Amino acid sequence: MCTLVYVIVLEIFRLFFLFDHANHIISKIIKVLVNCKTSNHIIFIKIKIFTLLSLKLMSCIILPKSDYSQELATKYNFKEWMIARYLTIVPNTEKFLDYINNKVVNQYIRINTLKIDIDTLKQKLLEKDFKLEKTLLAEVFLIKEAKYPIGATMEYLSGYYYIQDLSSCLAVESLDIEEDDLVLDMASSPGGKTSFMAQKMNNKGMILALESESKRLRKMMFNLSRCGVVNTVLWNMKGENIGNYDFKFDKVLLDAPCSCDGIMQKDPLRKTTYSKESIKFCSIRQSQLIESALNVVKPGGLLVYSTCSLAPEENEFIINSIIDKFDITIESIDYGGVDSLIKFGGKVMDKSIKFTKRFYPHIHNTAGFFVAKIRVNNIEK
Amino acid sequence: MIREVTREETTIIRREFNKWGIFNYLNDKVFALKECKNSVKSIFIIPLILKKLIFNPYSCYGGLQIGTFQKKKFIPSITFFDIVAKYSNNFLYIIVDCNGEKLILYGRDIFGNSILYASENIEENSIILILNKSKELLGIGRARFHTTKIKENGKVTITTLLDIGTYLRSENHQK
Repeated sequence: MCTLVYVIVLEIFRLFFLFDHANHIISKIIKVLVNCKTSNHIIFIKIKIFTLLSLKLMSCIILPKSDYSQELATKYNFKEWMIARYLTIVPNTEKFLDYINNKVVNQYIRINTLKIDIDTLKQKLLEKDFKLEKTLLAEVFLIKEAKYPIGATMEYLSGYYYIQDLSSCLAVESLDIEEDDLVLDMASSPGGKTSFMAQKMNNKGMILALESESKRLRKMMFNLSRCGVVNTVLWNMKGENIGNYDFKFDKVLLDAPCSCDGIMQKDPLRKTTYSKESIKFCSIRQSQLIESALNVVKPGGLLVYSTCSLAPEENEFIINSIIDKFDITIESIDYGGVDSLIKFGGKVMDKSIKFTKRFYPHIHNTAGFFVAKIRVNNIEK
Repeated sequence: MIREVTREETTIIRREFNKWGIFNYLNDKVFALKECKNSVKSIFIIPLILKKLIFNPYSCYGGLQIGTFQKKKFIPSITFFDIVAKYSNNFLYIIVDCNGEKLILYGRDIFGNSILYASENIEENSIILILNKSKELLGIGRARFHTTKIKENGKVTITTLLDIGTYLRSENHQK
């Protein structure tokens, strides 16, 4: 009887979900659902409805256009709605657009200390006329000058270094990984962050890496093998399904699939393929992934959420949506970046969102990136 | 699907480790086998601690892939020889100059004049490790001549079988 009620209620709400009702009505229903007192067996249904309605609320915020946004859109060949958003999101917007149009790409390498020590590799690369510049992290260097393609040297093929943006390395750094941890990487291919985690763990402990796309596995396997990673097992599985297993992890990294406008300088095609639908689609997936992730973090454990997107819907909104549902603390990140947005498009977020960080290409010389460090106190409220 | 290796398969792999002088590397590790579509079986060596994660229906890779099984024969991978180069003294090798190093990374065979040093006991058809001046593994080759003739000028004296650039070249080829 209970199952029948559950199925009927869910189906009604699925139908409702298909229609484009006003968001404020849905918000009110959510508030009523949160506040009403129900018996235990209804709670499960309540959570399901709550999740469906929360997903319905996900959408791409469109900001009013102006003469200035129109001017910039024409000048830099962007869609105007994107410019209108960037004017609110990105500091020094014009400099940012210049940076993207000039396709300035900084290349960083991470020295793989599983295979070689930092000084020895630095010396080898200097002998090959590479010019390196230090960064925030001891093992990461900016390539200032290189006579050969950096992906074709003997040192690269031997796994002595990995070509990886500084911002990606900062996400791993924020995990505070210890040698004997049990770590989950929820969207792992091509394996840069996974191999950095293995490096931090000195190939001890255990890493479970998940990748749902079969075609990306081969590259991932090559990278793990090249870098001499031993402590990792790779599963060809969707991150959302990890809750089906009885594992609890000390640390979880969720570098979520995103709309990737933070790497537009590397891939200018994204200027034309970037759409409101992609933001909405990604934010729904990210919302599901982060909830699955939080359910498998041990109490006291850490989740680091990151994206290479600049859209608040994929970043701050996602973190804001879990603050009320889980007993978590947003911790500050000590490795640069600027404080994230606490309001966007009329939506005001929890104050603790400011502890999450944003990285901008024209300010930090990295990809556009978002990182949040989330400490789990207890599982669901 | 990854499964445990049978007793027979274990014996064959262990024999290879013994032959190359890296038997001790097996301490605290187990083998796992992945059945691929083309009847090739990939062999992984994993730390004991990973056992609870590797034998799962979704599992597709773990630890180090040290080779494949083809028709009951174990074919070691470049990763296997990387372990040999690091942990064993029991192997034949040549050291090549910078020019030879570049050629190997493009999958080319080795000319006698690129060889700076060759082990004394190399016979025709011996399997040898190809190292650079810093004794880092570049690839695996088959000798075409005895040690005495291996440095002969203008002649290909080593056929390259495997090298560290093999994967990237195959990726580019696929594109």
